[in-house]
Amino acid sequence: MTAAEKRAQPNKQKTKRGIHIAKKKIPRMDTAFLIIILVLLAYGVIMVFSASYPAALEKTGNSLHFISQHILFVLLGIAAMIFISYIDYHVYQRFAFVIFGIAFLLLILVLIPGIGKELNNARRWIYIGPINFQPSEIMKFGVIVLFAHLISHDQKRMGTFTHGVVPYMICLITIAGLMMLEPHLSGTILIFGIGCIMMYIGGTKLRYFLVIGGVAGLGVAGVVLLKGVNYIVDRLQFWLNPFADVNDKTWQTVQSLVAIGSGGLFGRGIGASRQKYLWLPEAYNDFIFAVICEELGLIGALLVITLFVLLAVRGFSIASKATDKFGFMLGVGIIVQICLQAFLNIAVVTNFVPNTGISLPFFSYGGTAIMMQLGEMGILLSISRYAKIEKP
Amino acid sequence: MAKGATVRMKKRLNRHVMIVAVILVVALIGNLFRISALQGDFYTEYANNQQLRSETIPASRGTIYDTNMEVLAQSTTVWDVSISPKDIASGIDDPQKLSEKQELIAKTLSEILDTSEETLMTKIQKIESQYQLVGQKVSKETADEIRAFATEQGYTSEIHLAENTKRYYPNGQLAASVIGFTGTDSQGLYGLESKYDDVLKGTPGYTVTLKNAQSEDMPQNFEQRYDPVDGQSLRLTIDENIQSFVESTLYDVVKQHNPKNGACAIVMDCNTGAILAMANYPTFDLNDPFTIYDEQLAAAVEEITDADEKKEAKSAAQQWQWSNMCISHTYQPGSTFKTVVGAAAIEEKVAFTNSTYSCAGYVTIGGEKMRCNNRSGHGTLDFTSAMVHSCNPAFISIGLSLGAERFFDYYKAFGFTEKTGIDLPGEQIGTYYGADMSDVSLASSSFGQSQTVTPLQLITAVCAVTNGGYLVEPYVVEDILDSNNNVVSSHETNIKRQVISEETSATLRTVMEAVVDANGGTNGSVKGYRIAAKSGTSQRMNPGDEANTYIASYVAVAPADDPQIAVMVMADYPQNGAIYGGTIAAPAVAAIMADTLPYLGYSPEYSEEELASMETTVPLLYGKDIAAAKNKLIASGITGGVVVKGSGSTVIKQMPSSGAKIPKDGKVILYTDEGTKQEYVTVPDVRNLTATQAKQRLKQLNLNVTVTGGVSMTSAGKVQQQSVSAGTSVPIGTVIELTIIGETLD
Repeated sequence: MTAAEKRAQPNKQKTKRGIHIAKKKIPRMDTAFLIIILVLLAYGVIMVFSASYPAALEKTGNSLHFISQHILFVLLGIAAMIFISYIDYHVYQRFAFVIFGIAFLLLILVLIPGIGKELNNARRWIYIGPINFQPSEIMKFGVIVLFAHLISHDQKRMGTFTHGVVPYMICLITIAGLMMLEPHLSGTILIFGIGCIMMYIGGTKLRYFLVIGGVAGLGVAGVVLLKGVNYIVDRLQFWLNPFADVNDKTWQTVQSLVAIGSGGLFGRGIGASRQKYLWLPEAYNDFIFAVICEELGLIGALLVITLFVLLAVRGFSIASKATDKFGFMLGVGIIVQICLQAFLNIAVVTNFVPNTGISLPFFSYGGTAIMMQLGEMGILLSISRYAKIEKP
Repeated sequence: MAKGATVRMKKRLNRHVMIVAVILVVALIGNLFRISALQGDFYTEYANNQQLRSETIPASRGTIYDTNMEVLAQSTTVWDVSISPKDIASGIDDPQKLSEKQELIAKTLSEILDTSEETLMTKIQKIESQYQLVGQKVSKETADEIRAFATEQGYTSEIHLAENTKRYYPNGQLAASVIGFTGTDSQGLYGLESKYDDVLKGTPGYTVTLKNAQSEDMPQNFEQRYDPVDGQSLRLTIDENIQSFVESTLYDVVKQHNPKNGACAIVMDCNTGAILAMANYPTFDLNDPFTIYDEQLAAAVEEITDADEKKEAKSAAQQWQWSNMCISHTYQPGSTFKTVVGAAAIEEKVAFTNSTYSCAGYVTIGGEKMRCNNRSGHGTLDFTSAMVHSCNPAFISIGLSLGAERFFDYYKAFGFTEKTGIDLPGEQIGTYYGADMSDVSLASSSFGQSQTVTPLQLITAVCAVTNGGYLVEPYVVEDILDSNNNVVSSHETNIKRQVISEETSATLRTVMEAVVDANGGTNGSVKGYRIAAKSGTSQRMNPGDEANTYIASYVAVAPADDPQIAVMVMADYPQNGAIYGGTIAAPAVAAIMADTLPYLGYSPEYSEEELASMETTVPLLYGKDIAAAKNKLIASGITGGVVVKGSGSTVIKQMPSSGAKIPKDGKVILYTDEGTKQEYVTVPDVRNLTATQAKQRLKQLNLNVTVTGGVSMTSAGKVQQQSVSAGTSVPIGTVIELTIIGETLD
């Protein structure tokens, strides 16, 4: 690494920035990727403002309550992102087990009453003073770092069952078990999905995924046995035909579809959503995409999807340019996390998959989550910087 | 340090994972497109259903005017009062203060609204509720009081006033069953209110606003307003003045004769079919239609103890008082129908005015003995006399000579087999025989004793008989007016057909005038006017009818030479002795004619005899010398003469005294000195003498005679009452008032 730094040292020593910076010149981050993120954030801030003020007015009496909080977190997040982009990402490799270990500990702690806060029959949040966060959010990053480290460390033996499947699955199943105790189904699915995609790219043979599929199938069967067949049949019925019986369980889906459908191709106009007036629960959070559809129509929705596609393309391109396997896997893992979550959120909101609580990255209101996401973007930007340094 | 990602890893990412991702994204967009574009309508409608709140703005209901634009029915603004117990209770934690506030509201409102304080308190204590109706359709004054209270106490969100409308009928029961009434939501339920509901009600407007999931208004500037279109108004052919007179006349008939099945009267324009008045008894108050108006009927309902039966009886009584007998009551018309048979026979030339008929008091047709009203027979009579005497055998003979087929053709042509088409709901038609009727049926139909008709059908047919042969469609709505009272559309006279020729009609008019003028005048006569009419007394012969019960009716047109208005009165089942149409209905028709004809601008033309018996006021003659007194009397039109008693030269006493009314051919007795005593005579019994005989008797005794009723002094009618009983001693010159009942000829 020191050799690389030396090689990269330019000769411009008398710039205005001073000698110190000139000596340790860090390459520029990927501007295109930064712009995509900023556009996503700006879009998100506008929509959170529009979607949150009726609920803010109703709940707190101040229609700017949520948006002012949101902007604060976004600004903090951007600062964190820029800061992190200057940190050499290899530091995460060195502390991969530590990071994972902390995340794992938090995942256990959250289950303890008194530490984990129960909300809507699930214990997913830890409150420390004014800060609250979901350990599962941290665990997403923990899994990505750990897997990136393990894969880059022993990539050649990823094709074998003992090295390419067993440790990863032990890890994932343990995490899944802990998270289902909260319970947190959507988070479990997300972490499982991120892990599997990283394993596949890392080199795990396709046929082993049949085994993994079998394990997942057993898990599903377990859930069915636990919850009862009727519960599953009802859930399926609510998913396939939410309008047949509009009740507490289908209300969100119905109102979401009504918002999207009544928006049509071009929407009612920015700010003109009607569903956000308490018809649509979580309008500024998990279901913000429905408000976007209602106000800006299919066009606005396609813009969101396009931005995530651009983010993925540029993100994968950054990862691919990383000079080491860890950087590659870390970048890919982070982009997969963001895009998979976006996909699942939109799929839920459009009733493409059954309803489960999952937020839309960069758009949904939610303090620590958006900071976490921006921090991860900082890592991507860091990869984009340090990849250049090591170029021969 | 390790090398970068292998080619295999990049391939797995950029090929395999990306391909799956592209498929998923395409599927996601496809699904989105399905929802937004393909199913957009469904979701938009669903959204509108839950987000939009539509509030109606009531249209104001049109007014009903009489022909002179006097208001008969009008909608006025009233207020519904409601309270919000939730708002009353909100923000007050101290139970003491809360109950004080609740009690204040309950007490004040119950006083203003005149309702029970307890009931109000129960409503106020439903503190979860935001809406409790406490007063419906209250007047402006009441609403103002409540508003003042609410403003004063600052209770504007606790007490609400909402505008509503109420139908008001300024004349109460006037033309009740014609006008009809509306229900609680101002929808027409009966009469014209129901028939013209679509015209009167207008189109309500509405506002559309957005609401959130808690049913509160969204703070968005979204309000669409669709203005209401007010209802149109009606100007009727009914004249409030005529209607009111007709009703009071009809109620007098009811009072006097107590017809068990009610009574009705119609005044109609002969040539256009315009109904000038239409009255029924029993009747009701339009402002309170559910209360039984007739006292006997109400008492009878009250007597029933069984709750169900009582309810049923009350409902039946309501239906009856609401019904418009003129168009819904079918009855056997009796002799009034002879005008129709006569017209058909003259038109078909099977009868002429000089045709002769013989009457032996009965005639046997198909083995059935049919009686004449004159049991001993009328002997030989011509067509006119047959009508005047209402001779059944003569009309049986006329009917038989027409034959069943032609009889039925005319029955149909005069409109008896169809509804008249009047613009009122609930019109009925009677039962009738077809062209294949038997001789017995034909014979009884010929004097109106088999088939049933409605009063309106009969008067419309009689109009056709007398107006030149034209069957008109009767109607009550003259104009439809917009909210500024501009005419939107007007009724046009609808002549359905000409049934008989002008000549035949003229003949019948002459014959019917003879009926009225018979024997120097009948109960149907009106001094100064030429009336053509026919009475009818039909036996009630429907299944279930009691034996020897009758329907009395009378139908007349005037002026007889050029009929303009037709009047009909019918009383079903009079219970106080008298049964004849000529006795019960004719005086009522004459009274209506006497009132209506001058009102409509037809001036009376008096005959010499009528002029002579016309009354005048006796002037004050005290202190005048004899010659001057005589001159003064002549100047006053009193030409009957003067009887001077005593030897003085100036009048010191007169009989009748000044201001009294005597006929122009009456006598005035003058006393000229104190010494001459006033002369007295004993009043004889003149009852059951004819008017002429009675007058002669009384005149011989130097008494003055006046006659009440339309019957002329030369009528063949008998004196029924005298104002001073027989055997009383009175001063000479006293005025004796005679009540004469015209001879009944049916």
